[in-house]
Order: sequence, then structure tokens, then C-alpha cells
Amino acid sequence: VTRPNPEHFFEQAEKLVAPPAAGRPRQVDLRRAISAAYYGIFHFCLAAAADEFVGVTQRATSRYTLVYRSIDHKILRELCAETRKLTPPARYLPYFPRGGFGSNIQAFSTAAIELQEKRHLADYNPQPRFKTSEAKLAVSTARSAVLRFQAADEEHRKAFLTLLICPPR
Amino acid sequence: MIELAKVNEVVKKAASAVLKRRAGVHRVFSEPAADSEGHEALHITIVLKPGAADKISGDMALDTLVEVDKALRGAGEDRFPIIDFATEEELQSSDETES
Repeated sequence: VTRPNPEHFFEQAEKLVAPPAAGRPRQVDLRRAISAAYYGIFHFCLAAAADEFVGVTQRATSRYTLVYRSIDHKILRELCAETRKLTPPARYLPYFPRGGFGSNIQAFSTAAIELQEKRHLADYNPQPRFKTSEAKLAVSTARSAVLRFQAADEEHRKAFLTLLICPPR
Repeated sequence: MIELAKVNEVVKKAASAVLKRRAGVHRVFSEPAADSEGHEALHITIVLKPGAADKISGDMALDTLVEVDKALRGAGEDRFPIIDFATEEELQSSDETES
């Protein structure tokens, strides 16, 4: 199975932000590092959802691919935006854990939106000049966000992944 | 929506509480921006002491994002903060030619 390994995105990003042998880091390297940091989080979500609903042992099947491919950036962003709210909108309310998602999922959600915005700037906007500090911290933030998600309450993780696959209408 | 000066004050206080003196916050500046969907947002730069980026763990960076977000919303700011980190040196050399 060749599904992207989130950790490999982070390792790739770390190579890109390492100081060059001479001169200043290239903007394209810093931009690609920020993009890879976000994509590490994104593919982590896709894999977590497909593992949950199709199964780890089914990774080579077309059903796994179907679920993996069903999530897009907008769906992830919308769910993350809702989990950060103290009071979710009525259509989400029946599916949220009682008392909200808790600090780990909320931290993951904050990082996902933040990195999605930075990824958008890094990939499409020619104006910003990216700094090594922000690229390095984007990578370490992404890695920590994944760890926070994994440390979250199991029921909260399942609720998040369910809403990712089945956004309420 | 609050004034940018107030945004900077709120962000500096929240970020300093997480990052503390070891990787201290030198200053903060912000400007209105639009997010990738065209909604109003804030582009906030947290200026760190020289070499601080290497002293900040992923957890500290993430907690900074979370606490800044919470503090801004608590102050009545509903624009999403897009937060950058930079050192003063990086800001000053930003116009130099890259390798």
C-alpha cells in the first residue's frame, strides 16, 4: 500500500527548512515546507477516517480509497471551525460530544485551520516572504497537532472522524 | 472587531504567557487580511528573540496558537488570526536576495 505517510511529510518539511550550505534559504523550500506541514495533517485525517470506517486491514481496497478520497480541504476546515466554537450550530449539536470536543481536538482544529491558511498563502500567493522561523514552527506545530489528536478521548476522535465523513445537513 | 493596537496587546500577553522568557516575545504587529475564502482575518506577526525558534517546541507553538485564538475571541475579536513567527533579524533581512 502506498498511501502517504503523514510523518514522511513532516520529515520532508524538516529537510526543506534545514539551513543551506551557503546563503539564505530559498523561498520555494520554505513554501514547500509549510505546504508539506499542512498536507501531513490533511493526510493524517484522511487515513484516520478511512482506518476507522473501512479498516486498517482494508487499506489496499477500493472501498478504502473511496473513503480516503471523500474528504476535501473545505470539509476539514468547516468541521475544525465548528469544533473551536463554545456553542456549535444546531445542526452539529446532536453529534458533538457532551461538553464539547475537549482541548486536544480543539488544539488540533486550530492548527489545521491555521496551517491550511498558511498552505494557501505558500502555494498560491507570490507576495509573502516566508521566514525560516515560521516554516520550522509550522512543521513542529503540525507534528504536535497530530499527537494531540491521537491523545484525545477515543469517543471524541470517533465523533470528529464521523463528522468528517458525514457532515450534517 | 477590536483595534489593531488592542489586538497586538492581547496577542503579546497571551503569547508571552506560553512562550515565557526563554523564547520570549519581543513585539507583535498585526494587519487586516483576508483568509483563503475571502473572509476578514488578521495577519499577526509574533516577533521572537534571536534564535528563539529553535527553543520553541511544537507543543509550545501549538499552545500559542490556541491561547492567542482564545484570548482574541475573549476580547471580542471574531476575525481568524493567521499567525506568523519571525525574529527581528529575519524581518530586517527580508529584502535581501535569496540564494
